[in-house]
Amino acid sequence: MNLTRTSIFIISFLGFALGSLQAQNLATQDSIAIKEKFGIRVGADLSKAITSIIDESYKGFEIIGDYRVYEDFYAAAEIGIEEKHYTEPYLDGTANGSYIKIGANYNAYKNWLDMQNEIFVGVRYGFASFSQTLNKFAIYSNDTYFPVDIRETNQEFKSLNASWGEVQAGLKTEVLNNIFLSVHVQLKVMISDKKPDNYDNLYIPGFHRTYGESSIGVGWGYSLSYLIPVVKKTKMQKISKD
Amino acid sequence: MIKNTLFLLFMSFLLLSGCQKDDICAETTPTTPHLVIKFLDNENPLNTKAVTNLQVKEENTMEDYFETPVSDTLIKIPLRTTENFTNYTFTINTPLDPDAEIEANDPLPNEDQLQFNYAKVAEYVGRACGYKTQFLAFEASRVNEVGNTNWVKNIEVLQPNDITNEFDTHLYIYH
Repeated sequence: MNLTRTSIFIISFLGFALGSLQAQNLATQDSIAIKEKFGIRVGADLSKAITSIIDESYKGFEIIGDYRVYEDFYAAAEIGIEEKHYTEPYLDGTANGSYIKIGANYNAYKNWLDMQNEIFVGVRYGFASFSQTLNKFAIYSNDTYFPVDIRETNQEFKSLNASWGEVQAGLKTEVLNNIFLSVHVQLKVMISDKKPDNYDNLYIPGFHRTYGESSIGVGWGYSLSYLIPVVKKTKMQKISKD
Repeated sequence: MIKNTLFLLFMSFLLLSGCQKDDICAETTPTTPHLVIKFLDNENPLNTKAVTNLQVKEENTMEDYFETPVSDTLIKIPLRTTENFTNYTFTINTPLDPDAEIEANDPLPNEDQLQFNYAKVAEYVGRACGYKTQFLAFEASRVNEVGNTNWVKNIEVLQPNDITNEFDTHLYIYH
């Protein structure tokens, strides 16, 4: 419990102070009415946007959105584009395409009053449609008698796709009214993967780097989003008299 | 419960982000194969017969392939992946010390030219190793010397004549 409180405190602090709480002058009541906001929250992944600026080998953008369906449950989705140029010792290629992730989040954090912070876990189904370009490669030989055979190919493999399951876990905090900062990590398992002939999907938009024979992938996100309040529901919350 | 799940997820995330095991091409990964040659006795073709102080050299290369001449029944030499042929000089009785004087009863060095032709196919191996070459429809021929002074009496390409690994022998040389 201490850990969760500390985390919430830290991200709140990082994102700016939470603003004043509304718990004063209520000591005489048993419970208070709290307006809970339900609505569509939309935003963008800041880490991808920033990486696009500072890393020449990467261009990417992701729009995120969720909708509070019921109490602690949110329908959630991400849609994005990525272009990643990767350089390995014996090959050099580019992955380029778009992806969509659809699923749900569960908020495990019990908020105090009308705060809307989250410690969430989520599941997603991801699907990507993309191309791989093999810019150049080398013929590997463990013999150094002949010079290394390097070939410029610029061969593009089109209409590839992949799908995966994903688990997310992270924190979300309301830094200003209806504005949220969120950080999360992703763990993915590949479901299907259409590979190019005589080559491989070394990077998949949305899935990120692949690990050879293993179907596991990882990722993370840092995003800013805005809640468009659609419905306000009133909820009674008991006040403890300690 | 939720805290444990979070912790587990975060740990697996860290573990996997740090896991870069396929970044280095492992020695055990089969990559471009060498040509595997076995030396057999020309008089008794079922028996292997070691060559004496063999040195090989590809015609466009300045250096000998072996650091010191080998005396063995089996050798592995590379083929060029940039061309569909590789021509080698096979020299037996190479002096171990090139500066030493040849004595009267030393066997004389004997150079034979062998030409290898093949079709080359690049095949994807993996992120760390890139591609390898497989040599298909491999053929070998000996350049005949005037006066039949070849030390290589006969050669035989083994079937199927595709060089895809180093476990199989690809060429027999009878001498």
